[in-house]
Amino acid sequence: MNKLWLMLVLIASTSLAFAQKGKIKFEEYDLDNGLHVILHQDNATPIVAVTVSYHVGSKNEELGRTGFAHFFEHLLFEGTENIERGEFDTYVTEAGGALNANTSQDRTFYYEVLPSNEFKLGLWLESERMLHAKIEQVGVETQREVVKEEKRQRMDNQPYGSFLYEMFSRAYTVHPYTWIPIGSMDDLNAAEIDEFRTFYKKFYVPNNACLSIAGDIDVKETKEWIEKYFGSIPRGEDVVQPTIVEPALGGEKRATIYDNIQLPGLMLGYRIPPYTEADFYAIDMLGYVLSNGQSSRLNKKLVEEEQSAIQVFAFPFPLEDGGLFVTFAIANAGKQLSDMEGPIDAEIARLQTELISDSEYEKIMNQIENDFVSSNGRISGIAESLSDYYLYYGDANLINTELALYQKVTKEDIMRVAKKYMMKDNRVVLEYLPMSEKPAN
Amino acid sequence: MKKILSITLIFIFAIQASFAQDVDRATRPAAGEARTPEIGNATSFVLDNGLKIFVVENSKLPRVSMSLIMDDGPIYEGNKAGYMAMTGELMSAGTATKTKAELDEQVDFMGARLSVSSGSVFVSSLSKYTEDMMAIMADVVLNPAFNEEQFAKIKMQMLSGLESSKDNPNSINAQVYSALAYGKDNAFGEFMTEETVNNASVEDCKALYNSHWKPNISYIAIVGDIKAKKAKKMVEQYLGAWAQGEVTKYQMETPALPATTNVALVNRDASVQSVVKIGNRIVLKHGDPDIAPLSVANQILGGGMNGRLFTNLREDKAFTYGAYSGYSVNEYVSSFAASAEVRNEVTDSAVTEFLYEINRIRTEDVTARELELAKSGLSGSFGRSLESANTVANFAINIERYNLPADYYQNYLTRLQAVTIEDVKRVANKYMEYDNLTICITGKATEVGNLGQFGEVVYYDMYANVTEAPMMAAPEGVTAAAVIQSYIDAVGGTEAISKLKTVDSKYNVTVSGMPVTLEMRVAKDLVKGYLYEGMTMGDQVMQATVVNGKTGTQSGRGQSQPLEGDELASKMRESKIAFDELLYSSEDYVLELVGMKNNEGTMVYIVDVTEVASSEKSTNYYEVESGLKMMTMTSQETPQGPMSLTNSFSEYKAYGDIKMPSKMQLAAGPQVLNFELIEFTANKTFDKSLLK
Repeated sequence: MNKLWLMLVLIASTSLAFAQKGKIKFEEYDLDNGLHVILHQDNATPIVAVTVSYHVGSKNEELGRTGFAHFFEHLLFEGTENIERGEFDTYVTEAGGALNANTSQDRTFYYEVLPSNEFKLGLWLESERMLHAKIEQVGVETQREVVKEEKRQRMDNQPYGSFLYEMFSRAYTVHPYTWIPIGSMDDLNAAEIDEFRTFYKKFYVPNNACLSIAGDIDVKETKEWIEKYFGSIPRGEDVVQPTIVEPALGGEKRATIYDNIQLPGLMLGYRIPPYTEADFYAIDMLGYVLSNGQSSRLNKKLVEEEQSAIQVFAFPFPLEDGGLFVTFAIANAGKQLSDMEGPIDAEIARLQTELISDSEYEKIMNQIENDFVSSNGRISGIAESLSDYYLYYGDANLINTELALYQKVTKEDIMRVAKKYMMKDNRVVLEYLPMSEKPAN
Repeated sequence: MKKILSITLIFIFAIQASFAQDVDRATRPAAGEARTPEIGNATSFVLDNGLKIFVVENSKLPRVSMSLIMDDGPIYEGNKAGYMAMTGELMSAGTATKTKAELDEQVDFMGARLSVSSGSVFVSSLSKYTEDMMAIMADVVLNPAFNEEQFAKIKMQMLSGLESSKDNPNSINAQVYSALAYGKDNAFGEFMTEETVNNASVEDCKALYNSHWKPNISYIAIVGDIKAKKAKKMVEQYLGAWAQGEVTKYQMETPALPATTNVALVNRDASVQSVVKIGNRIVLKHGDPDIAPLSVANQILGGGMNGRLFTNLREDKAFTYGAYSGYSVNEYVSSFAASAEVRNEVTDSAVTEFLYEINRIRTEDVTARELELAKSGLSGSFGRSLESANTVANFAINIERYNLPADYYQNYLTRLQAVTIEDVKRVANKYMEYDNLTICITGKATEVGNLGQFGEVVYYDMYANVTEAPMMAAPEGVTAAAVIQSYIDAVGGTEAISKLKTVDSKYNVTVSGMPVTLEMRVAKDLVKGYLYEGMTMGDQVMQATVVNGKTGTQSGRGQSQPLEGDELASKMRESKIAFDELLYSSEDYVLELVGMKNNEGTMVYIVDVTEVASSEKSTNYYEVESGLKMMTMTSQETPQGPMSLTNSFSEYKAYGDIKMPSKMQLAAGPQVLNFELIEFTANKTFDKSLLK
């Protein structure tokens, strides 16, 4: 059989599939077992993204057993009852596709991008994972070591690599957001195989998942095959998401972290509400005002004019139960953290007392529109967006309407959220200093 | 009839059964018909000034991006390395009519992007702002301000960037690898440092712009929601006046491969993982027929999750989060290299596996399955890349720039399909070296294991300068006295040594560059304090030192003089001791544990021993594992100034209850003396005739 997929692309698209440029049309429905399905047809390029999102992340873990959700992300490549260990990725590569996954505090996302004539392969692979993934000792042992290396590579061996860990462990103390998805090596070492199997049975069920497919499909045909592969997967117990409420921070928390860095770094994390709350759009826009583009407030002040920072970012880190608004600034050689903290505080104070200008407002609206359009450039991105909008908001159509929600935010709203959330007693401040500045004991 | 009926019934049941079943989960579903859509096109134009324009229409999203690329080639920056990068930054930092702040504001206001490098300009925006962005692009290209203040700021940022990269093991390793694989004397191996960045001035940026920013060597790709004719008109309007000019092409010699495998180690105490890169330079130009087979060979070796490197180092051994290989295509030179970040303790084992896999693909046929899988992976990746209209634009530019056939990319899959197992082996041998590799590792030297097995380990700093093996602190609890005691224990122990009354050692001595063999004899009566140390050539006594318990003489070539003062005292002490270390605990000596380091593959403690009376210092290396002394280094005053003397000890052997090095080497500058212990006797009566 000719496995080689001869493909020459159709680029010039005179397709009339989109009467309104950029609008994403899709269908969605539920299977009897609770699996939510979203389908977006786009026949421009003969590829398809098959994705499954499980509503389980690090916040569903228990103290003492952190890192499970992310660990599962690795485990689920190890094989199923019908797929031998090591064969999962081979099937995809052989078909000319790519695959990967990612885990957050709130959900775990798996995807394959395949040539469109292989969409059934994607359905088979993902349904196999959902129905009967193999949780075996050899897989667990291998992936334990791999995850340790991942942690070392991403966090321990990287300058400032520990900042999310340091930030979240202080910003949240009661809610599971206090730990980060990679979890603790000790917990992973201590976990028994039965605990992994229990986790799987509890969370990897169709009623806790969303199957989102975008690309060159025929919707009718796809629905038939979805029923064949996923229809008979039994519904699981209802999954109850944690309802822990993190109390207010109750006062600024500061810490100094000595790290293997040369340039000091300043990180501020302000507690923000869940991103499904109405205030979120205004908070996101604060990020645009402060650091999107070189003419943004913090860039202009710290990088261009005062030259105290080599880089500065301000952006929300949104989470389902409430996240952080993060400001991250790295000092130029020879500059101190205090050279940056003062001006950053001053800019935030300005936002709390003065409305942004009309032209600034128009500027960020244009930027948001631009980003919105760009985010729908790839079908894998579209599939993920549809899935996330459904999972967090219960409304996949936000992929088309969210821009309008941003456009509803007023200058007054922006000032209001700055006043409400960007308060010193609502923030964690981390000072990252070079090891050489650590006082000798 | 019955048989036919029963068969028919079975058949019917079988059909019914398959309808009842949803789907056969045990096997992978069959693929459908592959779609063969139409070929995409780029429309091309050339302006009078030589600027080539490529337009790819795609109205799926209301966006347009424009990339202007100058084919100005690499440039060797030399002692001002960094000015090219600064030129790019500077050119988006203001034009004749706009300050940086104004430019930033304008771009940001449209929600657009502008980025400039030393040889390119990239803009993207919503299609309604296309002409505005074209105007900005042209302004940047034609009227850069080269503002001094901006330059100073950029320089400072560059220096900060260099500062921060000092702690980034990935940048350190990449930098040192390139410097070694290509040499520092060309555009590919050089890198910027604080010094070179400080040497650069605005004038250098202006000169670069004036000499290299010409339309006749440039290409502009316009992709997105715009009609080709309109795009051409727009470019003509804004960049038509850009004046052309001659641009000199960079020339360089192809760097040689190293004669043997180089093992380079950059020490980083803070590392919990080693960054490992193993490779060699290659010459592989665009359009080379080896590209397709090499892409397949690379895919098999280290192209992704199915690569041999990933399967071996991650899935099988769990050394790493990921191990891959890669190469690039370049008109001058590039590299084939395999790399990974592995935890400290398995660094040497990881290198073993890398070499094993490189060797395997060179010497054994890959399997038909691997070949097929690699081709599928590559064709899939090619296909997915075509989701982006920019890919088609890049193809069009490449065809023009590198004189490729017009159907080069259309035939990509055909070329790929034609690769055979023999092809893979051939290119593996041609492009993946095995004996002439550069193995570059940035990691914690004390924990990387034995790298000496792969070649001579040379330590480098992050600037690819050869440096000393790093000194590290000895572990908590280790003291100089303890190290000395370990040595004493290793050579027999205090009790066994105390049983020695006399010792007599005879050595054969060879001198570098001299065809003769000398003999050396050291005989001591430890109780009476007699010492004889003599070097003879045949019957002739070259030099002899004698101590008889009270006095001492030094003689040679017929002359003799008495030993006096500190020298005599020192020799008298020596005459009573078989091992100098026994003296070190006394008040006559001061000890200092300097640290620990990796000495040519062996971890050693370094102890400074100072004789109080003479202030003479010896730096001694003791092997951590065995306790045995490996080396002593002293400095001797000569008429020509201080000279360093290194005494090395090896091949310790047991002589009764005592251990002695059967081989010694004394190096004094270029002179090297090798001593072989041919006879050792203990407790035989001291030969008094030696005292004459």
